[in-house]
Amino acid sequence: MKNIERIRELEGQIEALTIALPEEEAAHLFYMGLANGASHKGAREMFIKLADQERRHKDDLENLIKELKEQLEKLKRGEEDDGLWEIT
Amino acid sequence: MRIGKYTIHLHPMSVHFTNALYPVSLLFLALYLLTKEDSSRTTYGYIITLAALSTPVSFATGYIQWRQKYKAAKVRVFIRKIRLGIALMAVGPSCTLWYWADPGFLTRGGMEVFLFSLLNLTVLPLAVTLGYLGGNLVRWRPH
Repeated sequence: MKNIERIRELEGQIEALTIALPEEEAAHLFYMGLANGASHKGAREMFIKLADQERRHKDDLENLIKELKEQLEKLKRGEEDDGLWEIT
Repeated sequence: MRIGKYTIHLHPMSVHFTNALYPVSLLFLALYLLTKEDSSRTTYGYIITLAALSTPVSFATGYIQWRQKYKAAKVRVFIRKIRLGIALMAVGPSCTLWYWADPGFLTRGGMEVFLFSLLNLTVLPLAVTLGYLGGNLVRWRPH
């Protein structure tokens, strides 16, 4: 039963991160747009720094999603194996 | 949806038509059943037709947004929206085709009208749930 709860928890986390991911991409593009339009050198550097942060957030989220998906796959396999043993 | 350097929010734009037209069509159906005014029945026919025509547009724009923005991620919220969208694409046009097959049948009353009204009512929870799930995506809240 615990596995089922953990599977649901992981699915929920993957769902939330998947939905958040495009927002990081959009934020990165937003700051890059501002950087390209900025005439002031200091402002441009700041926007590039912010865009970079958003890009790193996106990479972090992608890695986290990948990790969680791997955990989920392992749990699901483990759940199926348990089922087989119970039958026999 | 990206067209060149512009981001056009086609799905949020199109679903507002679908989600408004279905409840309004139900309103005119209810008005007809209460008052027997022919103008309400005719209005229902036109509005349900527009609603049914708008549904595949809403579905298609949503599908494209799912593929482009969310990379076709198979997570619960999108699976539910796709299933409910398919159901709405079945029910909406069914109501429309049934009506236009014989627009006068509503005047005769009886079991046929009762079943027709029930079918129309099923549109409401579908449209409301789709709107609710979509709204949650805008400001992400788990459901």
